[in-house]
Amino acid sequence: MSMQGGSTPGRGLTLDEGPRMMEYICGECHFNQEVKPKDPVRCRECGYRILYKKRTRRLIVFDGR
Amino acid sequence: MAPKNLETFLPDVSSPSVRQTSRIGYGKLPEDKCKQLKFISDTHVQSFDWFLDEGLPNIPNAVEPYEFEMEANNENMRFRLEVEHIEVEQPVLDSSIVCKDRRLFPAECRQKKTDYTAPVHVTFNLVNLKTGETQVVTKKDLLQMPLMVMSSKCHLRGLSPTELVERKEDHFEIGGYFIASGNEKVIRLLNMNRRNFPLGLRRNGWKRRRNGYSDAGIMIRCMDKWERTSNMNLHITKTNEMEVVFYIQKQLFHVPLMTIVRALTNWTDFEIYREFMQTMSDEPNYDSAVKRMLKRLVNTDNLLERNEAIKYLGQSFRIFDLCPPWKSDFEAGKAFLKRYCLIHLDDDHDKIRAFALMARKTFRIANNTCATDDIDSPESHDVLLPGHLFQSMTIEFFESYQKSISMIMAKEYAKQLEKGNDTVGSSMLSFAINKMGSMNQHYKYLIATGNLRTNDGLGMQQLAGIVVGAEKINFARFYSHFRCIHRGAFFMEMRATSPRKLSTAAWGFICPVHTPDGPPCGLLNHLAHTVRINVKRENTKKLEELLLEIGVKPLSIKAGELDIPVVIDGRQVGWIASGWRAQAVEKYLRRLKTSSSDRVPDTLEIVHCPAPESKGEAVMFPGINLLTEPARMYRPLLNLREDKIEMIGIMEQVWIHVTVNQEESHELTEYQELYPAALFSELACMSPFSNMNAGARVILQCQMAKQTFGWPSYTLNHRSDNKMYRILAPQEPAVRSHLHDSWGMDDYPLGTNVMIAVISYTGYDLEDATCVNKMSRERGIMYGTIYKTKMVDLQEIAQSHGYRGGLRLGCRDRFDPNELKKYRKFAGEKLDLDGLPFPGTIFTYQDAYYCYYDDHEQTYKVGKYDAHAEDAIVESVRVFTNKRPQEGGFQQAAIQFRIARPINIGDKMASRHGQKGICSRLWATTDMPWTENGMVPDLIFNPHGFPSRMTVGMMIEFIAGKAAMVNGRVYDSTPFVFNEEYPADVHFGEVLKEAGLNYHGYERMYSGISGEELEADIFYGPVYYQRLRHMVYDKFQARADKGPIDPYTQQPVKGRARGGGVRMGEMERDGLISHGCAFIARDRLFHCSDFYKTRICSQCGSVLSVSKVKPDKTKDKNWKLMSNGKWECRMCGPEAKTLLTDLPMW
Repeated sequence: MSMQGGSTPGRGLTLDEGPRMMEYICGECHFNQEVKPKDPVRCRECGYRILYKKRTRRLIVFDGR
Repeated sequence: MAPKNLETFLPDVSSPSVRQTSRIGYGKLPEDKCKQLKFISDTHVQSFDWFLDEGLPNIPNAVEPYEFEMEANNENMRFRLEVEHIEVEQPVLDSSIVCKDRRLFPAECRQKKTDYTAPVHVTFNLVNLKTGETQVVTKKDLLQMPLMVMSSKCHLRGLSPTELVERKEDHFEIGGYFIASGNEKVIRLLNMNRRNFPLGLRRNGWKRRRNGYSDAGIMIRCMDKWERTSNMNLHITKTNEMEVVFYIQKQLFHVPLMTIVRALTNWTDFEIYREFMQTMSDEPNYDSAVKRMLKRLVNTDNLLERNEAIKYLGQSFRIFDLCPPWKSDFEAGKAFLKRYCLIHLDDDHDKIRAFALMARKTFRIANNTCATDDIDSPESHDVLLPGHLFQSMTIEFFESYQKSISMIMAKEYAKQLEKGNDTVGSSMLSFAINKMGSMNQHYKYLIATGNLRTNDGLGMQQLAGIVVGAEKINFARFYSHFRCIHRGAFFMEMRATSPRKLSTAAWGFICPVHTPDGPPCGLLNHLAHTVRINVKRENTKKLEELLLEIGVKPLSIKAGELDIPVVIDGRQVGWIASGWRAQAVEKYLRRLKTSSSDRVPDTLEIVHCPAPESKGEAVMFPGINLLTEPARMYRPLLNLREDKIEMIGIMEQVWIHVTVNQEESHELTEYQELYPAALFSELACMSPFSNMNAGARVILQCQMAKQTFGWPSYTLNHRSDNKMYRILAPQEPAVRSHLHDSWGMDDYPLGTNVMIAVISYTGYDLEDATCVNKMSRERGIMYGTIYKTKMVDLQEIAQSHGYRGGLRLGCRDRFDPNELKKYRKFAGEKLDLDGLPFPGTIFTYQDAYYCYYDDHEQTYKVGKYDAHAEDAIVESVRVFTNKRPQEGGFQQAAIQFRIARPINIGDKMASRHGQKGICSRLWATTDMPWTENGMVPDLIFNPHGFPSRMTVGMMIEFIAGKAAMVNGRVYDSTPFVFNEEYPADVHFGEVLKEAGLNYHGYERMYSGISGEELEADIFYGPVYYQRLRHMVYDKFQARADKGPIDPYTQQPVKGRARGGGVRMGEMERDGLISHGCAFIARDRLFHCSDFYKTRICSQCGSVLSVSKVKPDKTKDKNWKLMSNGKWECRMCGPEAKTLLTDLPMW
């Protein structure tokens, strides 16, 4: 699953949890990568040790319909 | 004009223009670094470069090899341990990290909150003194040395602006600081007593030091070429005999002067006498004193020969571990003289001459034939530089390290002997070195806490507060740290005011206005913006040869009665007749100094104190002092005779005539200021028209500029500072000084040009309050944001619970619906499955902003966002690990929140003229007065702010700003550009008139409320306004009745952070009483405080004796009704009534 799916937050506990896999951007080479919970925190491409979280594609403003 | 190497340093004085923002390629990174800006931290960087490139490699020469003995079976074995080689690497990643690019850059340290350090490899030699066998052991990573950013070992050195940006730095990164736990730290410049210069003083305390001492004496802080310090005093008794006082390991030792002199030379008594009597033959008292001292040496102390004196010193001082125990007293004495006695001189005869000179000076001071030096005046000071501090620390470190190593070795060897193993291999040395481990804490402690750990004091007056944080509230605050110079923590407690006074000698060196008000006033100063501090030591050999060529009498010739000594860096090189001969020498030296001669360094300080006109007049001790030493302040002045720029030292300046402008010069004038504003610090110079404002206002502006919301850094996303302030739509000032442009301050703006009407209009602008146009606010005027970074460190949390791990961020199993449910229950809706929020999430009070699973307690735990008043938006989330990244798992994160702070009622603003004020109301735009062409002010300024403050500069800024806006230009506001002959108001008035505006900057205005034309002309124009960081949102405090209380007193606690209250103190109580509001006082002081209900006896009035008594079933009929017991006074018996009363708890 990628970052695309997802529900409107505030709908309570659903199984539709949005992204199961988290993607991060390397702070050095900007490589976009999945990091699993037990993976080491470092860039797979360049080995840089700081990863940035991505801005979500989920709708974060309640659209009021 | 200037010597070549100084050219770049001279400020660009062309008047400001919009060329910065109108240049071709605006918005692209410049190719070159801003040369002027670099000079802010240049002193720091250069001095650290000196340490890395010259100081450290020479540690093996500076540190005495340590000789020691180990007990062996037959004969004790003797060894010499010496530092053979030191090498500093560039900062690298921890060896456990597998990575292609192993370089460690400062940005990574800032983000991860770690230290920016460079590994130091050291090679030791262990020499067996008997066999000559040498073992060499190299210890890799003995130290992690904190590394100054931009120093010669830093990866950022020499990078272009584009490359710097790639490394996540500002394009004009200046460096000069250290990084400890992600925080930027600066070693503060400290005033020290001038090195190697005998300061003649009078101190009452000296009389008490020893019986017979007078208050006169000499103080000298000697530094050798490797920055090792030894402090000495020369005291004179009331009978003119002299004693030397050594400071050794914070203790004082008194030695008769002649004992030291005897130990220094084989000269006969007569030769010594002759040297001391040079130029003093007219002083019979001195003559007899010298004779008496020599007599005492022979008759009482019985030191007839040099060797005896040396032995005597060795015997007395060898307890200080001067040499190994098996060496003779003679060698110990030699070591003592080398280590503690006038260590800036190598030659023993130079030392005697220095003593003779000091003796003459002391005598003259004691007999009032020579003035004392002023120890509080900056001419008697030089500066402690970061590199020099590191160097002296390093010397001390290796000396103590060698001792510790030898002790471990001896212990280990004893163990081995018991086992029957008596060989000393290189393994012994490496064993000891490994046992000591890496010595990282040694330097880290200094940088992290600012405290210096030292055994012998390093000749420092203070051991705390050496390092301060270089806060980046805005860029002005940041760069001021590098130019700040402190007099010493010792003087903070002193009640004497003399160290705080602005000395005349400080002109052009210490800024007269850039000092804080309050406790550090006058002690915490800033350097004037043209001042530099030299770092390197010059070779004076050629200079000495030159002096002898141009007529300085060599020391071998007896001095004439009117001769004055010629001294280079505390070492006398000869004599010169006072008067025109001395003047000629001085003139010639100055000519060579300004002509880039290789014989005279261009930073040479030529201090020619002329001999008094008539002998015996109390002037400064005469002589030609030539100073080339490091750590001296100097500044450029125009030499009128040579028509060249000359670097003038602070002590030199005392003796020359400087004019500010041509008109004021007279026949003695030799020098002229480059421009009048050169006496100010950067910040004071950028305060516009500051010559027209009262001094106190300029002092205030220097403080307020440093508390302004600005543009602190271009790398906010790559930093983890706890708190950063930023203004969203800053502007370049329309009115500014030349420094603003030449320093590229357009890149780091501090405020906004705001249209202001000076009018008494709203009634809400009393006492410095200002009304802000509501529409301007809504359009984002002075809109600020605060960036707060919260660090999540599970390793630290685990450690605080005593776990070794077992904590992990995020949901345990992302595919198990039950687990997900459980996770959501704790984490709420705002966190992703990795336990962290994503950028853009809005957080309110009590939202979980991170969530981790605790293996030990088998549950999820969260960290909650705990700011009550306002929401925060996640700006960025970074994950990383400080531990070995291979281990995996999300352990650490930095979550950066952004908090919006539009301007609000109660927020502080200020113009650049010390005119601060609070926003008191957001005034409806429709109710604002408007001008004839329909403009509405952004801000209303109360005219009562002007008369008492007399900030004429601000009024000029109104019209200058208006002229600038009308013409689309920027105007120069450098102090002293305008004066009485060329008034600013006329200049700008004409510009306004030409543009068709009112000459005085007035406008006709109409009332926004009635629409009527206002009778008065209104002063109206743009002023550059600063938003200060003091805001209501950080300060407001409220407390309800049921707030937190102190468990002991039951009274409300204090402190905003704890939800406490504001103190209702005596004054407030008096106020309520005087208003007759007794019940309000009662409510505040009693009911809302430690109110307590208790029983009291109506008869005796005591609360202590009242207690519950169990009913006596046999007597009391109604005992069933009183099952809980009955209140009774134990003293007065059951008859006395008890009453329920209100009492304060205590």
